[in-house]
Amino acid sequence: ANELNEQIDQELRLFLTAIDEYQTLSAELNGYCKSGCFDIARARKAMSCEGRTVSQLQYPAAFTARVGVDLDTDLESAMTVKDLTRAEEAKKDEEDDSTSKSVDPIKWFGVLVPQHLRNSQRTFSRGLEAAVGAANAYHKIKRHYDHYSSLMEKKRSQNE
Amino acid sequence: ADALVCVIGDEDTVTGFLLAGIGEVDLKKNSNFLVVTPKTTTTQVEDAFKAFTNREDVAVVLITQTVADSIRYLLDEYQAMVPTVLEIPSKDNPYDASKDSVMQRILKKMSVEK
Repeated sequence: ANELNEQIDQELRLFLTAIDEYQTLSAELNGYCKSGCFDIARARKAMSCEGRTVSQLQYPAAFTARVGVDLDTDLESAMTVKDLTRAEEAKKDEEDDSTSKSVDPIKWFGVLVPQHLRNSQRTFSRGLEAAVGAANAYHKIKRHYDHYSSLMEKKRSQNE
Repeated sequence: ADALVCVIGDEDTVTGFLLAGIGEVDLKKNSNFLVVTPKTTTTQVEDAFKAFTNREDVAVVLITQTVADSIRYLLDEYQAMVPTVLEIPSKDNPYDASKDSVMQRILKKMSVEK
């Protein structure tokens, strides 16, 4: 019974730690989004003097993702941010499909872009890391809560 | 396995995450993002959310809170762990942590099991 109680306490601690981790990463993500949008607005203002802008009209007709997530289903959906361009370069050697070549998205907005736009790119990249971290924390929350629930059910059945 | 990150939100938020490199549009115009403007209908947002969350090659769906509010009932019904749906702040509105769908789901689960 003591061992079961210890297990329950341990799962509860891990559950609460995961909630704290999620809330911290969520707050970081929020900060990066706000800061990134502010830099985009500043870049747009700087570029407007030259008749340029930052909008979806600059998006190319077709492009491939340069960054994704490595989803490890064996580790209960643990995720890490992954650079997809290396796999694409290996594929380029096998087939020549120029319409799906990935280009740094900052080049969509011109050759010389304001520093604010580069800052925004960096900020949103950090935001992406925070988002994936928050997703992992959410998975931990669910996992530990499910373990905690099953241990509590076991304790209840033992007490009956 | 390699998976994508989708984003649904205002133009600046989507542009920001596209700058980070997550965006993809194939030759058939299938994309992993939706820029929501005042002209975007709720049906378009619903269709995009359902399409992204049903894709097997998507790990995370980011959605701004203002847009999430317009399809709140869909987010409340959504129970899958992958793709993970995360709410992010909108450009023009402050983020309301009490509406965070992840925390709401956890609190609801805890209160049901009491």
